[in-house]
Amino acid sequence: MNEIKKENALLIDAKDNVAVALSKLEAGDRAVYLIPGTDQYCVTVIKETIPIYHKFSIREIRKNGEILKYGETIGTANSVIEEGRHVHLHNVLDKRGQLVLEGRA
Amino acid sequence: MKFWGYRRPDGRVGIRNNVLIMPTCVCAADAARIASQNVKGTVTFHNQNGCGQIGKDFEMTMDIEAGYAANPNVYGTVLIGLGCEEHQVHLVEAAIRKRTNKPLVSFVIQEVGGTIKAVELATRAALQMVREASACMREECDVSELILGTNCGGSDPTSGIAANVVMGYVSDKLVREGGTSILSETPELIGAEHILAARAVTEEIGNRIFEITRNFEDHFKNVGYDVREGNPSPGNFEGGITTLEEKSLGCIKKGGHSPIVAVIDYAKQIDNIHGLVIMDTESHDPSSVAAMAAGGAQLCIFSSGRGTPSGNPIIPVIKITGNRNTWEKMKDNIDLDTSAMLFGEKAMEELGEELFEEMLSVVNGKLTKQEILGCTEMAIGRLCNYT
Repeated sequence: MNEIKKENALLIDAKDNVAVALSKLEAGDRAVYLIPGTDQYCVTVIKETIPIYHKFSIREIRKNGEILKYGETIGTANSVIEEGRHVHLHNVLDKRGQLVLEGRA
Repeated sequence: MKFWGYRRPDGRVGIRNNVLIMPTCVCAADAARIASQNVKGTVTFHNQNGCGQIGKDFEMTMDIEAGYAANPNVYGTVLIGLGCEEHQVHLVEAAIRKRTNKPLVSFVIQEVGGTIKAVELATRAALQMVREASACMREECDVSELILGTNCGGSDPTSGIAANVVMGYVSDKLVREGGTSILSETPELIGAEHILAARAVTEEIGNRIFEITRNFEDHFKNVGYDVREGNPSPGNFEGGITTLEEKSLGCIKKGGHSPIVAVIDYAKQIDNIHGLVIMDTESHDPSSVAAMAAGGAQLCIFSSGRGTPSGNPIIPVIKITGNRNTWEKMKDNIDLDTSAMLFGEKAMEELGEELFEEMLSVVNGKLTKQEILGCTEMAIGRLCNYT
């Protein structure tokens, strides 16, 4: 089996604490992604539905902790985010404006 | 590396060969539209501006008008004004003449006696210009004479990871070949300024990058708003982008990894600058693409995760997407699907080479889907309300 084909998620930068779902993931699914710059795969057990291309946490993020994607801060957690959770408007504050994003979509 | 282009009398090289019928103000837009419908080989646009504008706001519209006439894809320009507007025809002519010596004729509706007479005169002038333009032959030119505009719109997370990176590859390759590439959309640099500033060739240019994003944020604060109230958009959110910073980090991938050699104001002429430049435009796509065209870009590559028909009247716009579902749903509007890199089917570099080849084909005359469908909507950036 082609190693690459088992990936269903993308970790953009090794520093990131969120990965991108490359297909819709459901609670209990195993998200598999490559650690950038290595040939090592990592697995996160998904805790809730992650729509395709949305983000999920690959480790617990503390309240007010930085959300890291592209190796950079894209916002902060407005509550504790467990590993495997959907990371989006409901649990993220944007970095500079500190606008409440919940309900914006 | 070479391509086939139209050498203009001002020395610049175009990749299309149209006659522009340009309304200098909103009240001349209908006359321009009717005249353009009369003459094959002409292009026009609905100019909402050109009157009731002052200061920097006046200047932005003037730079679009002058830049469009000077864009090398345009053989020559027929101007139609009203007569009482802020952007007086003689002022527009003078602004155009600062940029180019190409054919230019003008008519003023109040002087010639109304819409029908202005349309008649503009139609006849355009007919003559199209005859002349049609005799132009393409000649071999060096790709270092290309100015590529890059844009993204209707973004989703695939834009940053599977489309803009491919565009960035093309941008870097064009820069290595001596050409010019434009990274635009200032609000979508917010949160990524430090990365770009570190690539600026001088400290002054690095400071300018911080300055244009700060000015953009202040512009909204001055009227009591936050730019984030409208960016990211509802479609960005639905696609999975959460914050403006996240969107920006994906957006700047369009500029690849090249050093940043200049920051250009909205719609200003890019002259004798080779390398990657930033143009200070909005993330409103029709206005951003228009500004790059006015700056001299002969074409634009445009990524969209959500899918958009957005185009331009004077430059071809090549559409790409990194979202396979969007490609399947909206391939009528998209020229190239770059999603293969997300699924391990193709390497980014392979897709980058494909996009570069597609770009050269379009440069040499292949039509984009946007051109074929006539998707030419555009807008002109504003600083403040009409007087």
